[in-house]
Amino acid sequence: MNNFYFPKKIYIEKTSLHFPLTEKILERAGHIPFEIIADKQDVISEINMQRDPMSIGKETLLITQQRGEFVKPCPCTPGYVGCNYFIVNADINCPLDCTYCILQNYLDNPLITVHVNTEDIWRQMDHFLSKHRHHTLRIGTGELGDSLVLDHLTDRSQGLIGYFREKKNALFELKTKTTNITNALVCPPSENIVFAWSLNSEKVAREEEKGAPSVADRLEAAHQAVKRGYKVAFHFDPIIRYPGWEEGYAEVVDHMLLTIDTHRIAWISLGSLRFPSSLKDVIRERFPQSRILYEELIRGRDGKFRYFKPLRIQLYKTLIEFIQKTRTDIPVYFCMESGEVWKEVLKKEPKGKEEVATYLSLPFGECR
Amino acid sequence: MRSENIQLDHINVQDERYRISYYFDLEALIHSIRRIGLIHPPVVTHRNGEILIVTGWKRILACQSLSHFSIPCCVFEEGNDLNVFRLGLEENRTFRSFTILEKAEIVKRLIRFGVSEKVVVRDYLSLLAIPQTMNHLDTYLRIVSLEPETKEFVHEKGVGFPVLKLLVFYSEEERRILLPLLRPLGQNKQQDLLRNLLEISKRDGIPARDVLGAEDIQEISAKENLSPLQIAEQIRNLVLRKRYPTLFAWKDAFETQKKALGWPVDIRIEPSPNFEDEEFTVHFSFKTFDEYMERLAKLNVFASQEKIVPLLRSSPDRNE
Repeated sequence: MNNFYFPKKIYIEKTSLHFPLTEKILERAGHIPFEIIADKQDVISEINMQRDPMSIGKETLLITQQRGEFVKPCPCTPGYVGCNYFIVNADINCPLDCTYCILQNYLDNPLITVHVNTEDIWRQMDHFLSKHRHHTLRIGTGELGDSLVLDHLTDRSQGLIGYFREKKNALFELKTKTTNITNALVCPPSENIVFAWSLNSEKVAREEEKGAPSVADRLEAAHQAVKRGYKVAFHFDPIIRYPGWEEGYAEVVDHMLLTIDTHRIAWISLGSLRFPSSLKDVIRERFPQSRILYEELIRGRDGKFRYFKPLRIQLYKTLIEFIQKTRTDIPVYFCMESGEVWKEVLKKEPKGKEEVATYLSLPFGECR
Repeated sequence: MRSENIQLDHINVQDERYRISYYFDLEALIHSIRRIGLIHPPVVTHRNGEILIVTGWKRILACQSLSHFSIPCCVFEEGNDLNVFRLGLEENRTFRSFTILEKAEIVKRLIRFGVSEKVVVRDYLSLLAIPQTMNHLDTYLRIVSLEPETKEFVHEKGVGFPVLKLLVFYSEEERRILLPLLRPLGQNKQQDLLRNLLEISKRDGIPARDVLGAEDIQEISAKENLSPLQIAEQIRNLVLRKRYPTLFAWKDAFETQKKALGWPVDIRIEPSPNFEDEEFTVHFSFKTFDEYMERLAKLNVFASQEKIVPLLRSSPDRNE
């Protein structure tokens, strides 16, 4: 619970020095050495030329500003069903070191990056929500980083919860693997704010999610969020095949259903291991002991590696059976899956991402 | 730098400290020198009373084999090995691009001459058209440590970086077993074989040599009526099957169902790649209208649900 992340060094872009969030981070970082830099690119290039830049980047915090758009549609993946999700890229990258993490390959900048121009988030968000005022939008911060892993340094969750609780056409999700919820739970609950945890079997969490709390601890944190009055969600993603996976996932689903008041589960998503081919080399180099690359992964429609379809269907059917032993009405959806898999497993094939978004936001109708 | 005619037997060809090229074909150069003489003089330097080659190993060896008495050289007097090597590097760079093996030698020598890995990545890799990452440096250092037999193969087959990147993961003993299999294959297939073998080895937690030593693979290797290409192809296919057992069970089930239904051999029906989509492709060719009608008539036999559905739903489970 107290295993908070602290970087070994902080770089601050000169132009980002006088933001309130910068001051807050420096105050909370205590004696961690910091350096004011003119251009972040120099530091990024320097680190990228070292052996294992990802590991060095994870020990280094960069304070800068987002000069582009904070809010972006989740890119999903070509050829598979999306869910019309929007992401707020407030902080980028993650100090946890999961074997399968796409960020190892997706980002040019390996540093843990905090964007301190918070006012721009609200300004851009106001504009974005007003443009889509007739729809319920699903928005989250946990795509290019963990939503809560830096929260003890930034209080980011409080700002976001405070902002979104007033926005009735938004469902806001904080997605994490951590137990860093103390700050966030200070905020009174709101029906349109969901705390979500990425879950996996304990074996996968132990072997492939370096630095992340155990699944039991994550579920305990989720339990605290529910006790505080929040809705929670769970993402079984990536589901990974290994000898004994059925028992491993049965255990975590049972644990989840026993620990959490299931009526407070907003949704559960399922996604099996998938990655672009360029990530293969990175995983092989950085995690030579991992075996996740060596199951039957074929090229999908999007060119990414994913399990052969019958194996994915088997994974999903098994997990859904585990979940539905207790409750059949928790909304379950797939992340980056084909219409055929939806039809085969969930007996419905969404016509598009909007339909998935509607399916997931319907139970929240009253908060619109 | 000064020009000097130097007696060939005064040049020390044992000291290879600046040498980056080991694998080359001298014949073309010998032929050229015999016809029109040496155009471009090699560069040499002095060390402890010896004359060492900085650039132009091929030219000097060619002149030696032509029994020339002397050779015109540029003499570069510089006491620092790194500076001498850098000159040679620049000289070569202006004339030609380097092979992968030469790049690997250059990287190794830069480090030997005291350049830090960080500086090699920052200042030299881009000159060699190598991405500026430590991973690339590490791979080139592994390449330079390959045994001569493998390097000879790399040179002879013009093996590219994607294949070499995989080859360095194998042990010397495994590479010795692999070379005859790789030799007749094209680069994509070489890559395919190396990747799948490595992945089976990791998946099953056994050395690649044990995967290759399996009875079914040994049986193929022992077939005397097969050419080296046929052996390599059959082993590559077998390794592929071992890597993707479920996928191949599905492919086999599809083929079995096709045969059981009597699907015409001159009309191709294929599932989507890796069965990822529910789409099937039917393909046939014809020359005349009659042939066209004949193919359609054959297809028409499958125009009922009972006939076609078993094929579309073929799976190993259904065949059990």
